[in-house]
Amino acid sequence: MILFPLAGMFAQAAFTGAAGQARNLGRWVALASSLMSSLLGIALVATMSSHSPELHAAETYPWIGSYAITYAMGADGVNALPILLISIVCPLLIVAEWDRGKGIRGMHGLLLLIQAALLGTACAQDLFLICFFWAVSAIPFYFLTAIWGGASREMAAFHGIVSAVLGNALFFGAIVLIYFSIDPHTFLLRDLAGGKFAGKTFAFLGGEVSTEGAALLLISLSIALRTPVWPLHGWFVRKAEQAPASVVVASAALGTPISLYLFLKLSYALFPEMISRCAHALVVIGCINVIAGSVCALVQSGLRTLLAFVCLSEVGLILMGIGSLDSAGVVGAEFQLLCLGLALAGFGLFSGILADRGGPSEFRGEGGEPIFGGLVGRAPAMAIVVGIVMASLLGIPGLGGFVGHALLLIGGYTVHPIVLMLAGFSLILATYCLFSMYRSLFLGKASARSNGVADLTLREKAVLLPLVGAIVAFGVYPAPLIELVRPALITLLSTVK
Amino acid sequence: MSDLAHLLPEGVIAVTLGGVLLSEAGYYGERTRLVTLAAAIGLATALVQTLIAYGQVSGPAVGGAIMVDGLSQFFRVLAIVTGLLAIGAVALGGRLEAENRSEYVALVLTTTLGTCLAGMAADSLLTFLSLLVVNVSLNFLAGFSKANARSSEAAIKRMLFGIVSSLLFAYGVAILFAQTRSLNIYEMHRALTASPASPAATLVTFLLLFATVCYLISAFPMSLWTPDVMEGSPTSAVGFLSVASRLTGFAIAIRYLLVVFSTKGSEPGQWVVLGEVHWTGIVGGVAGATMGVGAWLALRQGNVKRLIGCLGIVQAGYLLLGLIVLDEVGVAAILYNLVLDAFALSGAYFVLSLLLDRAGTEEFGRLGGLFHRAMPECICLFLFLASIVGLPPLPGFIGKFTLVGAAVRHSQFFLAVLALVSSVLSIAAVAKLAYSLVGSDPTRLGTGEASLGISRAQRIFLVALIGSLVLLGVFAESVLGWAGRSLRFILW
Repeated sequence: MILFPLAGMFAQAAFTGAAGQARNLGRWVALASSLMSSLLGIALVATMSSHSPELHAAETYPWIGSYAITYAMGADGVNALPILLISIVCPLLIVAEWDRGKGIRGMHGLLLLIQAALLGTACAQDLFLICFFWAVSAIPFYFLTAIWGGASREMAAFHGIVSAVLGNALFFGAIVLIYFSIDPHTFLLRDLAGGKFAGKTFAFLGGEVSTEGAALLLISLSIALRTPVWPLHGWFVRKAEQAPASVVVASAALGTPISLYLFLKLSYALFPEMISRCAHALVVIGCINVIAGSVCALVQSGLRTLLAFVCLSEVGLILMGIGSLDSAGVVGAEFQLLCLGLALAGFGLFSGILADRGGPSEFRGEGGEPIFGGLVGRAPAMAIVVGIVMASLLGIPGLGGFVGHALLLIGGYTVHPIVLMLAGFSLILATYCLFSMYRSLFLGKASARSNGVADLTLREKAVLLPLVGAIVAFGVYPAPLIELVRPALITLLSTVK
Repeated sequence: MSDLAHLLPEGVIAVTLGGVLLSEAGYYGERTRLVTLAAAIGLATALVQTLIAYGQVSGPAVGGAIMVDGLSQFFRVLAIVTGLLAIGAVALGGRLEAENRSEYVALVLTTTLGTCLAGMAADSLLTFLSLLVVNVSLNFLAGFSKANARSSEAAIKRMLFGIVSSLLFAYGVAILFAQTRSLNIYEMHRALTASPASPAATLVTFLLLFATVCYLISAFPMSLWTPDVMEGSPTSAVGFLSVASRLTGFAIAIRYLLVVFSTKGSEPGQWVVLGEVHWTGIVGGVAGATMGVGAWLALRQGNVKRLIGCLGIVQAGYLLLGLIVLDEVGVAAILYNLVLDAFALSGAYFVLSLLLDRAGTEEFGRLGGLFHRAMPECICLFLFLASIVGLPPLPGFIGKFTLVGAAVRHSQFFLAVLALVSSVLSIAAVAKLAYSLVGSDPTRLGTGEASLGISRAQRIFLVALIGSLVLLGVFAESVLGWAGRSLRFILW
């Protein structure tokens, strides 16, 4: 599953020649390898039995024996949904960049590398391996932004990589600390799980520091640097403005959910005692995120920046779910990872499609007057797709987002009613933002600009259809997925309580 | 006579060196291309001989002057491979004029010979001599571009530091000789175990010898020469210069510090400090200072070659972390990282020699847009740099982990934090370089060429270097195991 994109990366790069058959063959190879990996991923999730928290398709090979580093992979209920998300979205990104003229091989190669690295992060059951794959996944983003980005792409890429590298270094520090504070030294999650660190301390600068606290702090900071979490989200907004649409999608709809998944998994499995003490702080941070995201979204006039801030507030909501320590909240957080990823992917790809039509990325002018307007008549398919994606982002019943939001709110309400109400109010703000965006784009009077906008082509429909289909399917019938993740998550939760 | 068989690889290198010198006197022009080939064949023969003799009898030879053990074989293999890489780089780089090439090759061979000898020397005089051989030939390499004033300055700077550090080494050995009446390090060890020296004398001796090591590996107080020399020396020579100097430094460090200043601990594979001076603290302090200063300097550089020189300083600090734990795992981590550095540094400077000479500048600000004109080379450069600063998926990551792990195992958390911080700073410095390389304005680059193409042979060489780096990561366990086994043979 992980090897396919890697093999595809090298295979498609071998088809040199800018035009003609070689180029065509190259992109088919890229798509085929990505699809193969995705089909394997979907098949893996589909065949998982929902009643056991055991690992599926586990593989373990020793890699560096003298440091007890193993190549341990496996899927369980916790990482099933991230795997599903990557499997659905990644091939679509390849198709979305189908017609890029210059450097298509490089772009497809880097996208495949992202797919491999993120899948590796999601499946790895060894801390060193997680750190390895996760750090690898940061590098393609740099090149993708720096080469194919907008006007000030170098700065955006630079900010992104500095933030990511800082995050990786903190993560690296955390795993070194974890590794050496347990005896015998090991990286295997299975051996590390279950509160082995409770009460352990180490001497640092003359004082005693709790290992559990220090490691959790390092991991949280590192996740915060790789996920847009207020106040460390500046790089993300910049990247969203400058990077090409497919890269924004890869970053917001794949990178963000995977980081949050890592946080959920590592904090619950490794530091059950500390996380239950920090849960309140987590909820408060999440709430600040929701509010900050919604308020900032209010004043945005660019599609991409709007996407970034909506993403920020959704991340806050998921953090609140993780911090609620309630089974409904955690299941909701996990489910929302998937739905958020799908919806953001749809939204981001739409912004790319609009940019391809020659439009600016703003939907509102300086004075608030709509730049487009009336697109619904010219591009009805686009209007329907965007409507569904947006509704899912906002949690309107019948769509995937509703299930996630509902579970999150149910789980959170019992624990922190007031904070939750605050967050709920902010969500209404976000609703207002998105609907005003929709109104100024699709409804109202058609402007001169709108005349140049054609409806979705067949290829674009092929990209967006699976996303919309998945959103609707998971919204109408979420039971199998929820049943799949619930036992594993409840097992994880039981160690916390 | 049978003892001399142990020196067969060195003999082959010496004969090749003689042949190169003779041919240089006899031939001119295009025929000197054969010299490069002959030197490469000579080194390869030496390598094959070393590999054949690997793991066979070990023990003192030639009257105790050399020690044939795993460690000496390790350094021999690595030195010869580095020499081969340097010769390959100069043959493919195409920068040096044909008539200068044989001189260059001769200097590379001399240095390789010196490094091999330093790795096996058990007699302080032999160590001193090989140190001088390495220093002198590297000084010549630093000053190789005779027409370039900066190159001459680099050579003089390096020479001044080199003279001082060699003298310090000689003083240190003199004090040890006065105490133990022997120049053989193993006899010194026995004498010091029987009647320990006074703490003050041990401290002074240690500092004198360690200063020499610091000079060779460019660790903090003695690292001042590094950025200037890296900037001034001809680009094709810098990679070899830094790797060979570092190899010699660690060969001496591991031999001397482990044999003279420590003794076997209670557990296997563990050493303890001999005497009352806890010199590991000094090494730790120097390591921390080196990493901090190196990273700080790296962030402030505006010249590509200086930048990589500073990254080399940071890496030297990292390598010293492996020494403070005084056990096999730590020293094996040093050896593993030395292997990685040999490939990564040689590769990085090789790419630079391809790029910079044609771009006509070394300053960040004027290299903008180079990335779009020479994409394969720039990506290779980033990969090599990623390995040096420890970014995955390159094996530098594993190497850094082994070294930081050594510090953590020794409960040196402050050093570990410092190591991480300096790693982040050096990654930021590399990102700065990448930022200016990617910078989109190709008009800023003065030359009018559309693209800086590279030949097929150069491409194959680069791919081979990257491939070996990746393989070193995939088979890290075997390499680490090899490094660990090399240490088993250290005898007292």
